Amino acid sequence: MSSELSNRIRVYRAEHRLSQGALAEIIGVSRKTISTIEVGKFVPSTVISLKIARHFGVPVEDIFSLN
Amino acid sequence: MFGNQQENPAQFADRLLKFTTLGIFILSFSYASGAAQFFVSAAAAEYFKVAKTVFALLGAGVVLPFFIKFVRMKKTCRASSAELNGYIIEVYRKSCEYSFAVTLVFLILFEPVAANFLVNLPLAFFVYTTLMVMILSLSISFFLMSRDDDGELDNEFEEPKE
Repeated sequence: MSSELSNRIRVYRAEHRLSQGALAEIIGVSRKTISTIEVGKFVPSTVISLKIARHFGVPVEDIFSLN
Repeated sequence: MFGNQQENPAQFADRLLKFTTLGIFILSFSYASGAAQFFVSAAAAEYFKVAKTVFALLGAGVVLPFFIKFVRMKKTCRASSAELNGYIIEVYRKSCEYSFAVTLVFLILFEPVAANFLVNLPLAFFVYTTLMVMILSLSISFFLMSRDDDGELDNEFEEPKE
């Protein structure tokens, strides 16, 4: 929806050896939501962004940034 | 049909929404049958009335099992763990906006046609037609926007299971 927001979810998933489905379950969203966030097709809500950042134990701006 | 019992609630909510839209899509044929009955003979109109009921029941039949399971999940609090701002819900919201715009344009364009050429038709025809346009545009735009598959291997980073 916006092409300006980039993210490093895939990198963090690889570091934590997490599948999209596993991360989705932890955050409380569907796998499709995670996959569309990763490819920049869907801009997540603040709550989802914060949940992802909290799960990886990093500030939200480490995962999401504006191009 | 419903997947396993331990399905991610958000995953299930997405499927519920997809099947609800499918039910809505089928329901649009019910309204189309309802509108078409005014253009055919009395004998043929009876068939359209039956078709209208059948499509309506079919649409409800598609949604009802998922809805019942959703209510059960709500009772067991499993559904409350789902985040309600996912991708599919966003697509559904956009489809609703698109549907509203299409229906508005349709009504604006249809108004002079109705006033000049369809004056003898009953009110039910216009209600059925408007509802058909509304829910058909909603369901088609939803299916088009949500149809693409990411196709990525989901377990690429997962540790192999013993």
